[in-house]
Order: sequence, then structure tokens, then C-alpha cells
Amino acid sequence: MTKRASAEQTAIGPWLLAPLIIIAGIGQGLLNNPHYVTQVMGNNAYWGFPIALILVTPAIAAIYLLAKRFPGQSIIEQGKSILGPILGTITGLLYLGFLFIFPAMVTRDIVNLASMYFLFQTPVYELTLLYLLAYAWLASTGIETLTRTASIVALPALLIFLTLLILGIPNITPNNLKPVFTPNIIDYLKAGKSALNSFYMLGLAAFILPFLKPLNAFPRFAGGILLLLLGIAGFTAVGSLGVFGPEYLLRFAYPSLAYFRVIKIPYVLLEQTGMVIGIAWLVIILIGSGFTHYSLSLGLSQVAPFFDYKIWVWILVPFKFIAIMWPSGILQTKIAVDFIARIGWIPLFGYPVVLYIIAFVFRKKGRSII
Amino acid sequence: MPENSPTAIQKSLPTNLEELTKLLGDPIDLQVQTYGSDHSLGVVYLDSLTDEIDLKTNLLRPILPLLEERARSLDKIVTLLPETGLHQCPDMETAAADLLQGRVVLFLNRESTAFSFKLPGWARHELKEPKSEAIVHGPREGFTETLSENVGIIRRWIHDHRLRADQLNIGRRTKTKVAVIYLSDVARPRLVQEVKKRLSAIDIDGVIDSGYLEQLIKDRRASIFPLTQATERTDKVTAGILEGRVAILVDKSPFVILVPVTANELYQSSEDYYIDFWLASLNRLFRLLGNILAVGLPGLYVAFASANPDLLPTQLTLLLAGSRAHAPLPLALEVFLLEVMVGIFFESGIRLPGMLSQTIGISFGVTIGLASILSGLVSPITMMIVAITAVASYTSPNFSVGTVWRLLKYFMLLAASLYGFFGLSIAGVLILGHMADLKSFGVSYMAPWAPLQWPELIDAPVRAPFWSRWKRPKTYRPQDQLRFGSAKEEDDEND
Repeated sequence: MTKRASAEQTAIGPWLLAPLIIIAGIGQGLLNNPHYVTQVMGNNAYWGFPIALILVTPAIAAIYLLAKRFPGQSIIEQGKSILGPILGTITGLLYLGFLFIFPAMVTRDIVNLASMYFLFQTPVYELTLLYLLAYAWLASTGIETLTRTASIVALPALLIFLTLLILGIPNITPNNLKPVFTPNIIDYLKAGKSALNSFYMLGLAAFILPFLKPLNAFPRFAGGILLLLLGIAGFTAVGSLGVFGPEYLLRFAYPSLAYFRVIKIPYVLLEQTGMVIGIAWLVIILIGSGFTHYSLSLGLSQVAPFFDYKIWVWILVPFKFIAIMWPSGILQTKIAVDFIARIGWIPLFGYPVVLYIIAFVFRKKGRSII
Repeated sequence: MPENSPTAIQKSLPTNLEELTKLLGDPIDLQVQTYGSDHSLGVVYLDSLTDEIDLKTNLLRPILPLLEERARSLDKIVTLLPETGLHQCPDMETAAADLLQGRVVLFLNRESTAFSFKLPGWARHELKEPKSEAIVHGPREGFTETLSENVGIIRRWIHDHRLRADQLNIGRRTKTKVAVIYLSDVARPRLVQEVKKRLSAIDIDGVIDSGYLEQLIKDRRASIFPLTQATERTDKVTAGILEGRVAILVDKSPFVILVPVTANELYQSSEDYYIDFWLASLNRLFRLLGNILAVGLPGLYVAFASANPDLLPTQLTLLLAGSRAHAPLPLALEVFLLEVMVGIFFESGIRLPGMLSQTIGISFGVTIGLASILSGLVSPITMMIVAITAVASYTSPNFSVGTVWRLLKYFMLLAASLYGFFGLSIAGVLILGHMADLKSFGVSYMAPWAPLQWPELIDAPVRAPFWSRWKRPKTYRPQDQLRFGSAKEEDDEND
């Protein structure tokens, strides 16, 4: 009998799943998004988002269909069921490798931001350790607590984001948004690919769908989450492009934050709105990072079931700390984050699609192991 | 047999007594007595609502000789009872309803009818206003320190035979009487079962106050958050029972425990429901702000003034810097020491004799406050911040939660002192994360925020009008969800 060290006897409803993915999506995907799409499409950057939405839909469908075909199994267990124990484990480990490095770089990015804005005299390693320990603790509390924490934070965070997005509109110069049409369809596809990271966290649904009750609520909620993330990511890109124009925008380390920083309402939003949004970002990325760390630990407990996911959470901390501290400065972090954001679609969206095609072709089906 | 058809009174006295006991769920305060050499007279009453001495000395004594007569009949006995308020009970349901009104029910063997009568007075207790939960508008009644009186108080609120009052004895030496009260058709059976299971599992030499049980039955014993609701207010307990929650009453304790509880529940005051919902909503928003200030203001102040003054508008930064120009202590230490002083004042204020506490509190507070500002030891702004925090910490209607906020304030202060807004944000998420991790008897402590329950959110930061609250809170998973009867649901279905 297989030992299910990772099996958490819990069920989460769609109203718990949605806030977590939204929070994680905004936190992990939005900070640098305008940068990526502007690099590819310039003035037309905002086209990237609806195209990304089209590109990501089959992957989300694949995640859902796999969850239906293999009830109670996460993507790692599905991989083992479909590809066999050896190949499934190897591909699972590669997938988890991405889950290790991507959040590590995002963490470093946000710690750099915190260091720059809030505590420039405090050593980065100290902030990193504090942040890492905080989200590791969150991860160790399990999916139910993570989703509930996200649920509490989601409404106020969304309210802050939407209010500030609207307040920034008067600073937009319409000339900066003039479209420059290009007949090359490949450019549009590239823009779509570069905006895919706005939806990366939806890919992690592959880990938590076994806990979702009822499972058939997922398509409806995933659609809503996709549209909401599309709206926020698209709006942020349009806003930052409209305020700074494509050339100037590329000079910012945190282009989304730059958009919010132009809003000035002293005594209401203090002296710099960027700080308010910085704090909101800090909070949601912390929860989002807790979620990715949980997913990674859960995945590892399914590959190597001799430890419970709660133990994996803490085993991973020193390794993650080393990975986070690996880039020597802001520039190196940016290069690493850019690279990982560009290839992230391969494991998060490509892997489930490939798995589903193989399962479909070879008529593989699983039975619930929870 | 249809649920609503009346249960007839049988000619057999034991059957009748058993049936009535069953109908009422054999509550802790039900007294079933038989009199006569052949046990021919059955007297049933609720000791929580009836003056037992009056009953036995003035009413039963003249009746008892009649029981030994050959030609006894209930009609004959009835002639000896006070005529005012004498009822004939055609069925068991009427007899039960009369009992719940504080009446005494008489059965005679071989008679298929019963009589109930009202004693001139009923068990009365001295009304006591709840000291820890004062309100302006609403009932002033608090619980007493006698279990049977407290059960009677609840019975005088809820005249329903489905109100159950089950008894347990806890404490190897004290054998303290504990009553578990709930509505059998509203409270979730699993919840009732769990409450009884946890109470029965307590193996302790004695229970002195309900506070013992509170700590022993909570889901997470190490958590500083109250996972049960202790209240002295009778209206609050009644409202809780009507929502499908379970009340735990302990003999010799005026504090009743209500389970399950959510953080949202602890922030609501019973007064919210006695005044117009607009005013209640405004009060709630002030209370919410007060709670946030109570836990976060000192930390925010230190983060702004010490770590990130660039966040503030220039004029405010200059003002802050000016007020602290000659302050000898670091800001964080200054705030911490003042907070500790306030804590000492609170503690001594509770212990000081009533008449002295206000005088000494004010005179020493003013003297120390003024002296420390004039001597330049602390800045006036710091003093103001600490005073606002102290006042705000009492906006919480629940004393335990107010204490928790006061404790967490130090955690936030430490985080802000070490890492400014970065530390404050992380500390905030950790507190939220811990709260989200908590459950009270299987119910999420952060409901209806987590999980999001949209219909109940309208009764969370603000107070929803009554017409929109026609269902009981889903959070407590009541068996009977409708608060306003079935008409509303049928109307909605027809629409």
C-alpha cells in the first residue's frame, strides 16, 4: 500500500481557492509584467494580455481534465500514473525544480524592493531570512489556512489595487498608448507569451484541485480568476505605458510600482502612494510565496514520501535561502527573474498539456488515492 | 404520526410522566415527583422557574391527605388549588408549554387529563447588570451565580420545549454542576455531541469558574485568542442559542460559555441589534477602527516616526521631529515604557477599591503624564498615541479579545521597532495567518471572511437590517436555517 504522507484530510471550496490564486497571481506575476510585454511590443504591449489569455486556456482545461481523470491526485502523482514511476518522478522533479527557483527569485526581487524602499541600511540576508521564515511558517500551516489567510487579505488588497489603478488614470498621456500596428502575427504571439506569467499561479491549481469540492466548480471560477487577473494585469500595463511611454518605462526596475508612485494625495494616501502599494504587495507576495512553498513541499512529499510536507517545508528553508541570496544585486536578480518568467510556461502550462495528451491518447485513467 | 399532532394524556401516571420528560428532553431543572402511599399524584415543575418552598409548604400540604381517600379525583384535588390561572391540559404539548411558563402540572393515576396552576410568585433572583459588557440600549439583565437560576433566566427568554438543558458533573472533588443548553431542532447534533464529549473528557479535581472549562475545551490550547465566548449577558446567550450555538453554564459562575465562536462574533455587541441598523453600522465601524488602533497604532507610529518618516507629509515629519528634539530615549523604548505604565495602571485600577480607583487613577495618570512631558522624558505626541491606544483597546465588546489586542500590540511594536513597515507587514500577516488557522468547534474562526460567505458579510463590518437577516448564520450550520419562518422562502421560490 502506498504511504500517503502528504495527504491532507481537508476540502476547500471554490471561494477559498479563488482568493489564493488571485492573491498569488497579483503578487508573483504583476511586478514586472509591463516590462516584459513592452520589450516585445512597445506601444502595443497591452495586446499581450488577451493573447496570453487565449494561450493559457488550453493549459487550464488540461489541468481540470487531468484532475477529473485522476481524482485526488496532484500533478506530480498524475505524472507518475501517466509516464510511469521513473519518468514521472524525473519530470516531476524538473517541475518542482522550477517551483523552487521561480519563487526564490521573486522573493529576492521583493526583498530588494523592500530593502530599497523601506530598510536600505538593513542587510539583505536579514530581510530575506525573516521573509523566508514567515512564508515557510505560512506554508507549514497547510492549504486550508493558506486559502483562508488569502481570503481575508483578498478583498482589502483588491480594493487598494483597483482604487489606485483608477486614481492613476488622470496621469495617463493618451499619446503614449497610440497603437502601432504590425502585420507580423509572431510578434503578437511573442507578446502573449511574455504576458503569460500573469497567469502562472493558476497553473498551481494542479496541486490543489484534489482538495477542491466540488471539482466541477473549477472551470467557472478559473474563468473568473483569469478575467480578473487579465483586467488587473492589463490595466497596470496600459497605465504604466500611458504614464511613461514605452522607452521610459523600460528604465524602471519595478514598472508597475512606478505607475502607482505617480499618484499624489498627501494626507490621504501619505506622501508616496508607491509605499502604500509596496506594503500591500509585500503582504500578498508573502502569502503567494507561502502557497508556492507549500506546493513545492507537497510535491516533494509525493516524490519522496518518507517526509511529510510539513517537514519538507522546513528542510527546504536553508536551500531556498541560498538560492535567494544567489544573485549578487538588483540587476542580477532582474536578469534571473526575467529568464525564469520567460520559460515558466513550459513546466506550469506545457507539462499538464503534454500529460493530458498522453493520458488521452493512451486512455490512461486513475482512481482516487485520497 | 405527524409531528404536530398532540400527544394524548394516558390513564397511566408513569407513562405520562415518562412522556412529558421525554418531550422536554429530561432537562437539568425538571422535577418529577410522586405523592401518596401508592404514588397516585404526579407533580411536575421546573425548579428554575418555580418557588419550590411555596409549592411544598402552601399547596401540596393540604392536598396530600386527599390522596389517601378512596374516592379521590383530580377534580376534587383541584378545588384546593388557587383558582387564578388554573388550566386544564388536554394533551402533553399543552402541559409542556405550561411547564415552560413556570406553572406546576399535576397528574393523577387513572385520569386522562392534567391540570396546571401558577404559583403566586416564581423563583426570583436579584437582577445584576453585567459589569464587563455594559450597553446603553437593551436589557440590563446579567447571569447570577446559581445554575438553576441561570437556567430559569434562559427559560424565561425561550419558551420552547425543544430547549434542552442537559446536566453534567465535572470535577472529581467539587462535582460542579454544568448545564449544556441548546435548541434540539436548531443546533447541529454533531456540535452538541462534541461539546459533551469535550466536557466529559475533563478530568480535574475541581471547577471553580467557567473560565476553567473555557481553557480546557478550546480547540487550540496554546493560542492566545479566545476560542469560546464568555458572556454575562442573558440576551447574548439567548441570541446565540437561537442561532444554533450551544451554551455551557457552570454552577457558581455568572459567565456563560457560548460555542462555537468566530472573531466576527466577538466584535459584535448585542446593542447593535437593538438600535437602527444605520447607527449600529456606524458604531461597528468605529469599533473596528478602535480594534485596529488598539493593536497597531503604537507599531505604526514607531514605523512612521522611526524607520520610515519619508512616508509622511513633510509638515507632519517636521512636527514629529520637533516634538522629539530633546527626547533622551529611542522612540521604540519610549513607547514601550509608556505602554507598560498604562498596563500597570489598568491592572491597579481593577484591584483598587472602587471609590479609590477613579481618584487615584486620574490624579496619578495626570500627574505622571504631565510630569513626564514637562520634564522632556517623553514627547507629547508619544503620550497622545499611547493614550489613544489605551482608549481604543476598550472598544472591543469582549473583554478577552481586548486583552489579546493589548498583548499583540507589543508584538507589533517589536516588529515595527526592528524592521519598520517591513516588520509590521510580516507581523500582521503572521497574526492573520494564525487567526485563519484557528477553529472553534469545527467552525473557521475567521468566518465569514474566510471562507468567504457573501450573504453573511453584510453582517460583519456593518450591521445588516433585520429584513435581510431572515436566515440563521450559515457559519454555525444550524439544522433549521430559517429565522423568519418558512413564508419568506416560499415567497422567494414563487418569485
